Amino acid sequence: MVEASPWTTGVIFAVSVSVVTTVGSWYYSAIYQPRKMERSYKRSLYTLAAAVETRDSGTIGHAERVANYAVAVADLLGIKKRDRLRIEYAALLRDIGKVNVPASLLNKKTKLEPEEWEKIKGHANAGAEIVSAVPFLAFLGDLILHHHECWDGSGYPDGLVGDEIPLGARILAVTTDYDAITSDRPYHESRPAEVAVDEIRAGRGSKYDPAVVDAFIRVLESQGIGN
Amino acid sequence: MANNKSPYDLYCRISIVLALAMACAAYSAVPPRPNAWAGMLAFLLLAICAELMPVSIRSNQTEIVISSPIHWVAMLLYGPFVATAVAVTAYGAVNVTAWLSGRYFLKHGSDGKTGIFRDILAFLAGYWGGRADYPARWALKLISANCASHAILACSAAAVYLLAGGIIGAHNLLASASTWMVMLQVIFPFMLSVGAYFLVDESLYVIVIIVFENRPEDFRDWYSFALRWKMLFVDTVPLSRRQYLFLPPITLLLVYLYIHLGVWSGLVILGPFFAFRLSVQKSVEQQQVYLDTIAALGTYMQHYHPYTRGHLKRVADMSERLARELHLASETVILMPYAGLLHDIGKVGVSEEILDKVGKLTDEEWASIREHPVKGAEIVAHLDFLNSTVDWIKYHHKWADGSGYPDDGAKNGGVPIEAAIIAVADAFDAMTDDREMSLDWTCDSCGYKPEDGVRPGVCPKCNAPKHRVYRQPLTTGDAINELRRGAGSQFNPEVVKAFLTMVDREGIRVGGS
Repeated sequence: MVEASPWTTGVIFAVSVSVVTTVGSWYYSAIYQPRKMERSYKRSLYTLAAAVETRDSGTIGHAERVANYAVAVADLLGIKKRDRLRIEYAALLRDIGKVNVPASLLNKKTKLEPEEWEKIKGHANAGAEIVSAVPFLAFLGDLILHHHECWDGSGYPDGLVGDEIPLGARILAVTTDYDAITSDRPYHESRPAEVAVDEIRAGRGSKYDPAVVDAFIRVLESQGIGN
Repeated sequence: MANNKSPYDLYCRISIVLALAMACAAYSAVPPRPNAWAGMLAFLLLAICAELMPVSIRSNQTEIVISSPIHWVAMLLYGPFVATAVAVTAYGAVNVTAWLSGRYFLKHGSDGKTGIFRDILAFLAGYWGGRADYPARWALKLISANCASHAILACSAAAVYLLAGGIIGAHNLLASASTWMVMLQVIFPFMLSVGAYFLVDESLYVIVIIVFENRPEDFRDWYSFALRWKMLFVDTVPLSRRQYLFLPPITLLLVYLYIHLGVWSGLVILGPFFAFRLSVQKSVEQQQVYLDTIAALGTYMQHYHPYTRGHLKRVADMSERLARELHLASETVILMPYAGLLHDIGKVGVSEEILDKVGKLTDEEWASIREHPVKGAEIVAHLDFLNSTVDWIKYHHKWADGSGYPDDGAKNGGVPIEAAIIAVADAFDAMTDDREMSLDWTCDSCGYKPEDGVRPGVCPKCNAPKHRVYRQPLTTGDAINELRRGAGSQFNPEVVKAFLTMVDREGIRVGGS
């Protein structure tokens, strides 16, 4: 605190501290807090997804694995931040519609009757419905609705073909199937990663988007799986 | 509500006497300088502005006023008495006017007339929100008790500052030329004083809550008091308090500016002040959106049972009203509806063949149903900002007499009152709900649909059992009698009492929900 020219020093000091405080407040509410909230959202969505997962296989963690793969593929395909976040959230919540499917069907070890199969297929619609009812999650609706669509139009619920399917849903289709093949389910034992990669490759251009399959295989290779 | 002989009355009297004594002591310790009127008036205006611009949470039900830096500046420049006067006058003036204008509008209504005076009145009435309809004595009591807390706060913070060797007054502050002297004589004592300010502030808040809830056992020893403190501030913090770290630097900046620039310093400080206010408001909003989103998602996930739709919403509303009726902490009142919506989220993991089963359950099925509160608590424990509701959800099937589930030793008193609230709201709504009656009866195995109004337990066509109990709902009166009968055994008697008073006054449902 120099007494010689209190005005100049005072004003410079005041303006700089004001700027620092203003920028600090702005940083807190515009950068720091949203980042923290994003972590909270992911944790919560993961927890709710895990609660639904306990209904079928009994083991949890699929949602998180699928989300990790989907984000890696989205990165390789050059998808921008907001859409990548959308894919990640949708991957966590894709099977949330299974709350609508009786647990006995999800855990059935024998072959499903056609009407039972219809009920299981209904989880895509139910999931999209649940998510669309929540204002801040409604943007996940079409990814969840179409995550079982196939490239050649043989998927459900709407039988969309090729580019009609949202890119995020095409990514979810590949990563979901890969995770399903490599983990234990009531109706099948887990199979090694190599088998899963072969199966995904076989579906390239028929079941799955070729570009997504290529990107996914590169992701797996970078992790030292398959080749 | 506090009546004439309530502990809250006693608290009001004690705090007002204490505040007056402290103000007298402050006056004699550092008498205000006679030539300081212009500066004091400027700070009073600033404090009034701050009181008029609260950050509102949940549409006017709770508000934060950021005025403490102004009180601190007044303390540093003019001493404790002026700080007390500024704080009490600003708070009192704004709130008494708001309350009076609220009563004015309540009496005359809005008759379409406009004018600057009426506009100001309307603004203040809106600021005061729904409290305009409190009886006169009650509002004045609230305002005077809060004035007393302001005085106690300002005086105790100033006492700590003076005892730590702090100096007061613009010319004294200027006289200490070296940086080290400034550190020793201003900044260090000021930090201690700010610490004392928050400590006393939150203590007074905890004491008011304990007095309101009428729980003298919390005052028994330091440990009980600290436990209660931890419950209110450590476990239940829906608002981030970290932003308050910005306030002491802003205060010192304002003091420095005021010494050099005089009254004009107010203009320079406006930038940081509004930035700070915006940051508090924004982070509060972000948390609000998060809570609403996650609670809505959790609620819709439970909708696979058609009848849970209205039920969860009604339990949430009723729980919130009960928490308010019992004068629980505002954090609790804010979180209560979310806990009401999510209290059965653990059932998402339980097979609905078991939930809907008619007739005797096997031990295994029964065990899996009894798991749902614990499962729900596990889920909620992972949801940020909702983790303080873990025990509310875990014990909502625990009875007041210690029976019920889960069986983990939470005996009498171990069940939090919030869980007891959810239990009462849940039971009452389940008893009066006509949910089963409104569903269509169809046989699960052959699809047979009988005549209207027939709801047999076994399908008349193929003899398949029906997986849901069909019963008549109780009337409101019968359900209330059930609650009364269960008070002390199944239900917490305090909550049942509050329920009866509330229903007597406001009816079962308010606001058409």
